[in-house]
Amino acid sequence: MTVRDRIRIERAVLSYDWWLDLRGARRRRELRTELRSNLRDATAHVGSRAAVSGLGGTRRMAAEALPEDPTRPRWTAGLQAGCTALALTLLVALLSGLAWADGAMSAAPDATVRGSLTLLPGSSMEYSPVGDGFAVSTGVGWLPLAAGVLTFLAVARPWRALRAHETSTVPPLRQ
Amino acid sequence: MLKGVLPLVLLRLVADAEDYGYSVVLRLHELGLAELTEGTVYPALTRLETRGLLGSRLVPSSSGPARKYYAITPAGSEELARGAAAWESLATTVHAALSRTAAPSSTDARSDR
Repeated sequence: MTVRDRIRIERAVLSYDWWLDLRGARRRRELRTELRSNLRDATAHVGSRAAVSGLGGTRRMAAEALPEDPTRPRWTAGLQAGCTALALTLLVALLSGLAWADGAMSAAPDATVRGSLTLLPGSSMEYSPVGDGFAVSTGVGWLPLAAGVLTFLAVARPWRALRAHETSTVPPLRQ
Repeated sequence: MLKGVLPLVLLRLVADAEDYGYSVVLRLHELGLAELTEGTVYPALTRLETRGLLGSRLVPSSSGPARKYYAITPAGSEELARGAAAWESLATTVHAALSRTAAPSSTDARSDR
């Protein structure tokens, strides 16, 4: 089995796992392992391209394999979305900080200059002339972390676990 | 239509011999059901297992990760017997209906001449 075969298989398995996670599936690891094993057997028989294309859409497969569990948080999807939001806001902070530093360097002030970035509340920037050069210090503030955490919570929906707890503690109806 | 009877066919195959996902797909293809792809069969096996009609165990494989072999459970055997009887009855009824539909049209064709 070549590296390309392994990459194709793992991509299909991860995609399947992603859709299972969105459905709140509890048997993800088991289903992942089973799919990987079946894909390896199929690859040995017909090649990885045909093996993976035989699956069709992994989203449909996940939907047909297990019913959606509304009481299970979507941790993986939440983590991925949260990390993406954090990375994007940090990128915005980096670009804004570079623009601020360029402005400060162009002005070439004699004394220390302090400021903040409009796009990032709570951020701080400082430019200090030091000898023949300069020093720049930055603080990105709370926004990137807040964006990451809020996105994680919005996508993962951890309150679903509370719903599961409530459902399990409701006493059965007496007849 | 084929998807509707797929659980029944899968129960039959697994009842004949304990088997794993990809091998079941190959057996279906050998039976002439080539349009049933892996993407349809694997979730169907998972659903049958979730319903308690199939059991499973992991068997180490020399070609990679352990294979998950399915075996029919007592509940699955009952479901298979019930489903097979229902299918036989349906097939007989449908066959009779189709034969009856075919007969008048041939009579009509004769009377038109």
